[in-house]
Amino acid sequence: MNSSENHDQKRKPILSIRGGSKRFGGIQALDDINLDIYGNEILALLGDNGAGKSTLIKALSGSHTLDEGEILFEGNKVNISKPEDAHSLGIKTVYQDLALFGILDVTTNLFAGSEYTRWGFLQKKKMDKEAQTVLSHLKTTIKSLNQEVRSLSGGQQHSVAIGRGVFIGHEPKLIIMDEPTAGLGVKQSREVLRLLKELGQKFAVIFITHNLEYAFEVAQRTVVLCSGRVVGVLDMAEANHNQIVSLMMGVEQMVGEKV
Amino acid sequence: MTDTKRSSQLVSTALQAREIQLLLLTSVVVLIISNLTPNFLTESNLKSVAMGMTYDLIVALGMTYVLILGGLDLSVGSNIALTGIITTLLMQKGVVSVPVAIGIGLSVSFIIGAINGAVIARFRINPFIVTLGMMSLARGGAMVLTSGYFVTGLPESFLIIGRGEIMGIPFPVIVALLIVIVFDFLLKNWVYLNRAFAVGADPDNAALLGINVNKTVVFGFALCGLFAGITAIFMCSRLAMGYAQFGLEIELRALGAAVIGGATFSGGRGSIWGTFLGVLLLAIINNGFILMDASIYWQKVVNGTILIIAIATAVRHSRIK
Repeated sequence: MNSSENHDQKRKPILSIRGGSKRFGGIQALDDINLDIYGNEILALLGDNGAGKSTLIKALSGSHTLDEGEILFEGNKVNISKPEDAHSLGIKTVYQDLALFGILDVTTNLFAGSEYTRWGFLQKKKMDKEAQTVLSHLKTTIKSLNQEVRSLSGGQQHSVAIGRGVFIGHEPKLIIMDEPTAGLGVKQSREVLRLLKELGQKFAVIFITHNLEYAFEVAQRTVVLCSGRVVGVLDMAEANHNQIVSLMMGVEQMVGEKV
Repeated sequence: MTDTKRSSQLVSTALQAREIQLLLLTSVVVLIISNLTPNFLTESNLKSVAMGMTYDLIVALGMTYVLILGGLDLSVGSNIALTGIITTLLMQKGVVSVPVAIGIGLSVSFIIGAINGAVIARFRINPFIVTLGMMSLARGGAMVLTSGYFVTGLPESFLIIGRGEIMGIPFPVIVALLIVIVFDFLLKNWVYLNRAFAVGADPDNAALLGINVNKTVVFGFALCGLFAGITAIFMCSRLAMGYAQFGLEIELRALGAAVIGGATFSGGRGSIWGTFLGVLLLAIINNGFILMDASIYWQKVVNGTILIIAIATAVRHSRIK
């Protein structure tokens, strides 16, 4: 039942949070969070609205800092106080709002703000080549890099957003996907889940979702949050739907869980 | 890989379709006009078309850039007037040498644009409002400086700039074409100009990706101002005077040409060669009217109609997609 112990025996976590807390005025957004994430696994972060998922993610991606507690990355204590800190560690976040330029082409979207240049001049061939590599990492085929991004399918748009967020710049190690299936149809969600699985083969992935089915499908483990606390850490293979729902609702708590 | 290449060629052809369509449309108009009047395809007439479109062209290039940024500049016409007045007054009074006067004039035009950009970027005010204000302010300034009189008696060395020719081609035409070629190349390849597309398409998004949106906007409007200033120098030199009514309604023609050429009011789009063809088309139509002795009042009616059609199709196009 205690999944993290199983993992401990095999290998060390890529990232750990120890005693993470965060307050906003009178609200305890995160309360003594303990959490481990291992390489090559997809960890589903589950919880109702206001459970603290976003605050936790923001603490890892550099938008917020924790009031208390520490973050260990590859065994070392790290300080993540701004997005660049997270980036240089290899913690890459793809936000729910993909933040793409709909009327601009694929390559421009991938490299906007981080263009390859020489004396200020764009190295277009180099960027196109790199774009191909990035998309092939994601096993995504896009007819033409000159295509407007808004003409792509939802899944392809996610590929571009993930490609930009994850593969451009520092080498990725931990990828955080914030509600990647929100607002997508079934077919497009399937495409995103496929991408998630691809990423999970090579990297540690935190997958934030409301959709339990998707969590069961792609994740190996889940961490359930309720009212800012970790109320459960489960192996997906052993967990069941009702159990997770009651944890999310705060009806049940895994007592004595050493996280 | 070959599939990707082939289709990318197809798409890039499709992207240039607007330029190709414009080229075809312009050819049809040329055929019609040259059939209606024998005077169209003569050397002297073509020269006057080329010279006539030069002012609009330079201004329209700057306008295209601010449209790509998601803005627009209504003050280009009065920028021409004020810049021209300041440059010619400095020369007329012999305060400074001709090159220095031109330098000061161009700086003024650049600063007028930069002020537009700074107010728009800093206070997040609609460019329409800001540049409408500047339109009145700069024109008013030109009037105040001259009380409405012409500024004449300019040095001969200044007049050469607008009137000189190289192999029969007026100097301003050559400069305008050079600007088109260089600006097109830089817009496509120089990262600092190219980022205008990202800024215009979605400024908040661009800022998130570390692009300095405010700097890009201020510089873009300043550049648009500078292009108006260059136009002012040519205009004053060629007409041998400064006048507070120079550049009236040039913003409308520049906007129309840029929109015909593929720019939109929602930003992120625009093409230098498209704008060039837009200016060319409007110039040829106007020239046709003159050759066929149509009233100047009708020209305005036709210009206005073309402008509305161009803008309506552009707006419709961006809504459908």
